[in-house]
Amino acid sequence: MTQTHLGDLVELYALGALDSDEVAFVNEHAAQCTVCTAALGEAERTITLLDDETIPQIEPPARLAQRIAASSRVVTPLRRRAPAPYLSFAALAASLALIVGGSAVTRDYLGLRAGAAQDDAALPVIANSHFLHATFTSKQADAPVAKVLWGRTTRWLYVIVDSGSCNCHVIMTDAGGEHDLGTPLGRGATSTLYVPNAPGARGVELRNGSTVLSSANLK
Amino acid sequence: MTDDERLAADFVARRPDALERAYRAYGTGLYSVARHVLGRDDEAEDCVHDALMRVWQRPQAFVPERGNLRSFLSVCVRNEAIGRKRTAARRFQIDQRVARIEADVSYELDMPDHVELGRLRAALERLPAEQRAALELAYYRHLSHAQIAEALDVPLGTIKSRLALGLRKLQDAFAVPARV
Repeated sequence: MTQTHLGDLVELYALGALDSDEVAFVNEHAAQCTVCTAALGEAERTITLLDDETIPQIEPPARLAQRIAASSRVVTPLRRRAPAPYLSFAALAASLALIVGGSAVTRDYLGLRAGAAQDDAALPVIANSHFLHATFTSKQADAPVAKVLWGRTTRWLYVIVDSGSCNCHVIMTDAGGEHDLGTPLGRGATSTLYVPNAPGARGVELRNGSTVLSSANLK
Repeated sequence: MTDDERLAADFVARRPDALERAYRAYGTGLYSVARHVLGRDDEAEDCVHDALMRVWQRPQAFVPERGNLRSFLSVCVRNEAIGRKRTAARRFQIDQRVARIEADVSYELDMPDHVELGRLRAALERLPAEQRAALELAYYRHLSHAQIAEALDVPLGTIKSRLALGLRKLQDAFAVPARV
């Protein structure tokens, strides 16, 4: 598309009738063209008037404000034309630090990011996801501190154990029963296990043999 | 300077609290748009969050020439919601079937009774039938221009023109001063 101005794409953008690559083109063009930027503003105003007259107002959940406030503090501006993940790794690190409050698990997790093959696979996924997290509840006095992170929609799992030599197995439960996911890989003072696809996961446990050390529910 | 103007200026200047303030000011409207398009609370929540973060990641996304911050954010959320809806449809490989089904649906407006619709109805009814049909499939059914072209069996370029002309006529009909 080499046109001087956006033309009909202005209205199609405001209506939501463009595909995602066309939306990207409009955004790119608007960043350089004040004429089309003003036209987009006019079209957007008309759509908002339509929305005001046709869409019932619904109060959002209070937690959304908290999510936006937290994310806005760690999202970094993109450089022009740079393909960047939704959150930068630095922002991800900051998010994780906020989530687990600077615990030993967090520090070690952040320290072992580079190099480990499974972390190389896990971090881009985590960085581009909305994820939830839970601390394992200890069932035994010697259970290591551990956390599990999981994608809200894609259902990957990432288990972090505050022990570099965890002799435990991670057991996942879903509608089909229990699945032994193996032993977390130790690096330094922590061990991690990344599961790219665990769609029906309901909970995870750390077990040593048949002894349940700790467990976490994925709600 | 009004509160909205001050907020827009702070947003352009990327003051650290500007996004949070924008959400506090416009969040209900933004969430309502997402909820209306997607039909689910959890998806609407993610949609608003992601759309705002995408905007916040692009420093040049909103500039004073754009005019109205609320409208800008609302259309960003709308596009995000529609994109998600289409992605979900593709995922289940029913996109084309949906388009055909939608094409068979009556073009009668499907809007809540409690809202004041006189001005909107009048403006829409003054549109040529072909422009109104295309506009309603885009606005109310959230179809892309390609889907509308297929549904109405009309060339893509023609659909683009009908959508653009129809919206410009509505714009002229509303003819309200710019709000910032």
